[in-house]
Amino acid sequence: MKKLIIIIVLLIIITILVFGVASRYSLKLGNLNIVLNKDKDILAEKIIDFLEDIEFKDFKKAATYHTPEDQKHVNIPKLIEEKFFVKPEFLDITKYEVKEIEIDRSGKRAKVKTRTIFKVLNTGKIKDLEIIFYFQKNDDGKWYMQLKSSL
Amino acid sequence: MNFKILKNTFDLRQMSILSERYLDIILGDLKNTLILFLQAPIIATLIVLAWKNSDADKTLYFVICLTAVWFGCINSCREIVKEKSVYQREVMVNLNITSYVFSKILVLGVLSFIQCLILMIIVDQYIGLSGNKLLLFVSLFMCSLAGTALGLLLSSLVGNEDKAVALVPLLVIPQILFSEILIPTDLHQGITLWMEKMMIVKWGYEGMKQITCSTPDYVIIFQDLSLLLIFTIIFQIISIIAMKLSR
Repeated sequence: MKKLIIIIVLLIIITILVFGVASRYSLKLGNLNIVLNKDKDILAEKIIDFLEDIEFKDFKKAATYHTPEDQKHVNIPKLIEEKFFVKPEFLDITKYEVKEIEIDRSGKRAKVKTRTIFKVLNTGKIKDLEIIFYFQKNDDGKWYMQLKSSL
Repeated sequence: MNFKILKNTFDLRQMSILSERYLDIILGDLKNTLILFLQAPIIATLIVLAWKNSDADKTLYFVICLTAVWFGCINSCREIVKEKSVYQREVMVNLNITSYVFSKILVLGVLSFIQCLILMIIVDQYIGLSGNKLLLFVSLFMCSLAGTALGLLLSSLVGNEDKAVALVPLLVIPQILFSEILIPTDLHQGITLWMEKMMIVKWGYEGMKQITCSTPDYVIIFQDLSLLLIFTIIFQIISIIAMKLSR
């Protein structure tokens, strides 16, 4: 029975690590960081951070994912209204997840498909939206969100 | 409380020894075990190929539930009948049938667990599943466990291994026929409605639908998972009764 118990415990730990802790692109556990796809992992992190900024209405930080040039004339609240069809003050994002990340052959363009679930506060309606964000890798090697085609 | 009655019904020590022995048999037959394990990545790859150009939709969740039930049924359908002569002999020297059946589901459950893990990792990596992954996995594994119990029930009722394998489609095809994927639930009436409710895949699929929706109702998810557990227990009890009657 000892052998079986060890196998069961190991399997439970693996399952929790794989489905509870790891993302599709990396496994982060304290100081341990196993990255399966560096670019995709960076993009997934960026999008999650970005959606979290919108969730907490931190528009100043939400603008920082764009290129320094775009940041000068970015108006996140207006863009949210265009994308979510809701005024930012009525937007209550409850859940979001990265569905798919695709990088083109050059490795310099990417699209990130996300699923966002939010509540429209004035009507109480719950909406489930799939939004694609587009990214470009600049010469500095960093990924920037494309303003026009994304938000 | 009369502990002797309880001991006659279930013997933990026997189950422990029988599980260990069964695990050794499975690990000893490496070729067959590898074939069983290889099913998972092969089917997962085929699913990934089929959904290559589309997103995870409700049909995908149905297909993975069905695959899990299939894994369970096919893994277990021969496991009692192939040892019929052995356990009938051991019953004469005090083998506890309940412990015997539980040892089977315990080891086969571990096998199904690994298969479901492989299946879900591949499908999630290449297609991307929505919702809480851990809960999705629990639903998938519960489907497989109920499938394992159903396979063991079949194994306890038939006379030989060939009959058991030949009868597996009879357990799996109704899971597709009486599903809302084929015919919408509103069109199921009377006996077909009952048949639909008797299908393991239905409850695993319902649970997965709930996990992946915008506002998951955890009470419904718990109910669906509980039903799968009840199915597993009922199939186990019937297997034990069938084996006791055939002694």
